[in-house]
Order: sequence, then structure tokens, then C-alpha cells
Amino acid sequence: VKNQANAELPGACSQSGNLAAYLLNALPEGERAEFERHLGACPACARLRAAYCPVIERLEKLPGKTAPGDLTAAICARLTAADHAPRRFPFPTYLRVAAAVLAAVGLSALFTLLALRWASRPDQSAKPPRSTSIAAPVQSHQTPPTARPLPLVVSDARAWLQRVQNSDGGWTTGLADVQQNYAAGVSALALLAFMDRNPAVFNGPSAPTVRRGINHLISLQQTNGLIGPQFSGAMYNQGLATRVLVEAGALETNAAWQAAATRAVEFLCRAQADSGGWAYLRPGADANDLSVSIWPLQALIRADALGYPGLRSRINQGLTWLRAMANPSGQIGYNHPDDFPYAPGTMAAAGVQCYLMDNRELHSRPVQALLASVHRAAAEEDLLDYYRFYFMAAALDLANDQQSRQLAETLQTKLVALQTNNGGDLGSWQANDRWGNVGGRVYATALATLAVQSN
Amino acid sequence: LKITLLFARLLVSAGRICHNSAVEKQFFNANDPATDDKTLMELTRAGRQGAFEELIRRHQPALVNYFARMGVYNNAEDLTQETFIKVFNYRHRYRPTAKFTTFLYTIARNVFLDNIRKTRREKTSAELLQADWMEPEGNKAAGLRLKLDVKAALDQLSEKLRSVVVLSYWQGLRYDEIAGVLGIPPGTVKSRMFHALNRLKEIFDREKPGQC
Repeated sequence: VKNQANAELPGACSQSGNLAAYLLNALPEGERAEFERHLGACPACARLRAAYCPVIERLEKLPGKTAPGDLTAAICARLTAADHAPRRFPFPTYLRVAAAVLAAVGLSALFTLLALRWASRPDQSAKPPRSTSIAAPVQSHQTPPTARPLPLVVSDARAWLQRVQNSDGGWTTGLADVQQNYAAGVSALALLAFMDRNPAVFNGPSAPTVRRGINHLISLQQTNGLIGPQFSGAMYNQGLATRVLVEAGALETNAAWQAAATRAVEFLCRAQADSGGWAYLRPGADANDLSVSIWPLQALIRADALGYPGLRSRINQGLTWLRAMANPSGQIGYNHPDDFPYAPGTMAAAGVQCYLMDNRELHSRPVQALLASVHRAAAEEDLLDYYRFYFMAAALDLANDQQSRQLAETLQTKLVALQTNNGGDLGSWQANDRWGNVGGRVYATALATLAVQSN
Repeated sequence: LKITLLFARLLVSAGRICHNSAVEKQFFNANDPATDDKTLMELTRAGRQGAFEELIRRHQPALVNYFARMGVYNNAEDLTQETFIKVFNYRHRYRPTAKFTTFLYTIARNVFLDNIRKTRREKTSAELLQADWMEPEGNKAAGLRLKLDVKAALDQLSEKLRSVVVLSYWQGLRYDEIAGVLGIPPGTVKSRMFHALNRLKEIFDREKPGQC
């Protein structure tokens, strides 16, 4: 072992083969102590160590990555889902091919044998004609699961959201500690699930629920316009709640709502960075974060469309920054163009949504590049992530070309299949995705409802 | 013959049940930090989900970092999930004679290599779009890109060299364990370590002052 390693070190002593392993902390305890004794006595090895020490010092500077949350629940959910899935052939491809060939040969031989025996029978007249016994089409015993009608899926979801609304009109994450800070954002998401594509919301049975929810959001608004507590993730709350207030003000004339919406929009404008994005409100946070920025940007786009003045330059600035976050293959990063900590495609979908909400041309190069990246991601979608599903469904819906429609339908089918269809949680979606531990069941249900409605 | 086969199957099943219950009795508390990884794998094989959950909790931060340092920062969590699912599916192949981390990183590396192959396929179609993507105004993107740093230096290493550095320096594996993960002789591991340090030194030496 030592000889092989030493062969790479010209002019080194017989022990220097261990030097790299020593510097990289790869020597077991005993060998390490022995090598350290050697280092003290061998000038050649000491010189080599001095030469490589700067490299090790640089390696120390590489920061680690922190997982966004505990992945245990997500992994166990996938294992449980796999348990219920049909079993796959657990062998390599060449064995599968071999097995398929063998099976085909075996079946052919069996059928030939049966046919020969059949033909050689002395009396065939008593038997039914061959075509009806062998060549008759095989009826499948598997019937596709009955797809639930979309209006029923949505009404069940809204009914569940209505049942779990708090007496003060808001919704909670159902989670402890810091996640309670996101209650305003979760309430806003729940309200959007009622209001999205539902212009008659204030004339329908959900109207009292929605009005109470909106009044609750306004009760959380501070004098500076911020809705909910001031904490690092406050811009998520603000972006979502502003969107709700802006939409509500357009659907029903209510001076208090419109005043609150104006204050909320003004807060978003003040919080926008010079670059055009928004950031986490905490010391040391990156100057901008696309995940944080998407909701404020969408709120401003909607506000502009609904007649709020002076927002055009801010929206242009936001969209320019968003474009700067895209890499050449049409993917959008979180903090810089190649930063996709949570699977590429999510932010590209959010980007497509922003462009198309702002009535940008679908066939423009930036939108097409982003959309192609969304198509690729959606086609391979096998990860349960309601946040991702929502942005993808919304982007595909707005794009509305043939490929987008097909992919959106697949996403929708997956989501509908995951809806709880019995018990007290009927109509809701289980919070077992990547962000379920931040938003809880209300979050999962609201986003899934929005995604399903998008089609 | 059928009766003999049936009897043999019954014996095997009974043996498994006895073994599993012995494991359960011996190591009942899967959440006890003192319970080692090998025991948790035994419990997982015996059908204790809590034991597997504990294994995930113990090793997920290290695995996320492993993938990030191998250069797949964007998909690190997904690959971590994939690895644990494979660990679970291959739980019956695990032999307690081997250290659990060797088993874990062998699977993780395979997941990593699969991901590289998949990414290469994707890149081909992505390159077609590259020409169509217009540079943003003022080329803000260029200013936002990371300067050459340790990550960029690691990116210039081959997968073979990068693996030995990541597995040893950050993941804490000894050279003989790395040899087990990579399926190469221990001497080759040491040799690759030397090559990797040498290459990194060349890269860092090439940098102009203030570039990092």
C-alpha cells in the first residue's frame, strides 16, 4: 500500500505516502499518531506538509449546506407510497430483457403445443370455434380509478378550509414555534383558494368565510403596512396578503380593504431592493431571494393590472432582476443564476407565471426558454412538493399550449389522487411534502387547491 | 417433495421470526443515541420503522453536505432522499460486518453517478436553448456569479479525485473505508488523495491575488 502511494511522490521519504491521508484526516487513530511522530523527525515530510497546508486551509473555508428541514417524514411518505405501488421487476435491464425473451419464447412454445394438441383432437365439432376461445380479446380486470369531478375536488377542499377556519377569521399552520409566524401567509393562501378564478366569491356561500378572513388579515396589519409579525420570513406573508387585499378590493367595494391594500402595496415598494428583488428580513441574509421575491412581485403585477398607480417601473425592475437570475438553460436560481437548492424548475415556473401575468409575449425568447425548462421539470415530476406543483400548474395554465395542457393535466391527476377522501379531513391534502413542516395542512390544501384550479 | 419444501419454508420463516424477535428484545429502543447504526439496520431489517427513521435523522445532514460538496448543490436534498430509499430497499443486502457508513456512501455514490448521467442527458437539450437566451440588461447576472472559490476549484477535479477529498476531509471516512466505498485498493485511495491535493494546489497557485 505504502509503496504504491509513495511511487507518486518523487523524492519523498518512505513514509510520505501517508501525508495526503494525514492532511485529509483519513488515517485511523493508531496510524495517525505514528505518522505524527514521524513528521517530527523527517524534514522531507515536514516540507511537504508545509507545501500542502495552504490547500487544507482553503478547504476549511467551504461552507456546509443545511437541509431546509427534517427529511424523515418525506422519505417515509415516499416509502409508504412505494409500498402501495405495483411492484417493479427488481433486476437490471439485461436481466429484464432476458426474462422477457424467455417468457415470450416459453409462451410461444406453450401456445404452439396447445394449438397442435387442439388440432390433433379427433372431435372438434363439440368445441366452440377456435377464434372465440383463443383469439377473443382479453378483458382487463383493471378499471381506471374514477376521476373525481374537479368542481367536487375544489368544493370539498374549500369546505375543509371553511371547517378549520379559526373564530378570529384566520387560519393557523397547526405547527408550533416559529412556524406560527407564517399564519398570515397561510391565511392568505387559504383565502386565495376561495378567490382564485371565482369572481362571484362575494355572492356565493363562501362569502362570509372570505370576508372574515380578509378582516382578520387587516387586523394583523401594522401602521407601516406590514401584515403579520416582523421576522425573517415576513415578506412571504406580505406578498401573499397584499395579493389577497388587492384582489378583494377589486371584487367588492370596501374602503377599509382598499386603504389596507394601498398600505400593503406601499410597504412592498419600500422593501424592494435596488436590484429589483426582495430579501429575507434578517441580518446577513442574501441581498435578494427569488423565492421570497415571487409573491411580492406577483402582488405588484396584479395591483398594477387593477389600477394601482406608480408600479410599472418597480415591476420592470423586478422582472429584469428575475431575468438576471436565469441561467442559459432557462432555469432560475434562488440567490444567483445557478442556485437551485430545491430542484430546478420551481422558480422557472414562478418566472413564467410572472411574465405571463404581466401580459408579456408567450413566444418571447426569455419566456420560451423558461417554459422549456418547466416542461422538462414537469415531465419528470415525481417529487411531492405542493409549492412546486402550484407554480408549475399556474405557469402551464397561463402558457396554455398543447404540451403545457397535457403536463398540467398529469400534475392535476396526481394531486387529485392525493386528496383525502374520507374522515374529518375530507377534502384536504396531507402536509407530507417538502414544506409541510413549515406550512402545515392548511398550506398544503390551499396550494393543492390553487394548483388544481389552475387547469 | 412438496411436503419437504413446505416444511423447509416453515423452518426458515420460524427462524426469521425468532431472529427478529431476538433483535427486538435485545435492542428495543431505536431512539436511544447509544444504539449504534448496525443495530438500527438490524432493527430496520426486522421491520422496525422507528429504527430507520433514526438512521435518517442521524445521517441526513452529512449526506446533504456530501452531495453539495460533490457539486450537486441544487438537488442535494432530493439525492439524499433517493439514497435513503435505496438503503431501505437494499436493507437485506447489508452485512453487519461492514461499517454502516461504508454501505451508506456506496449507495450515495451510485445515486450521485446516476444523477450525473441523467444531468448529462438533460444538458444536451438545454444547450439547444442556450443560443436563444438573451443576455440580461447590464449583464447583472455576471456580477452575481460566484467568484472562483474552493467550490470552483473542486469543480475542476475529476469525480475520482473529488470523491476521495470529500469522503475523507468532510465526511470523516478513513482511507480503508473510502476504499470500500469506491471499490478500489487502499493504496489507490492514498495515491488519489495525493493527486487531488496536488491538483488543488496547482489551481490555487494559478489564482491571481485578490481573485478569491
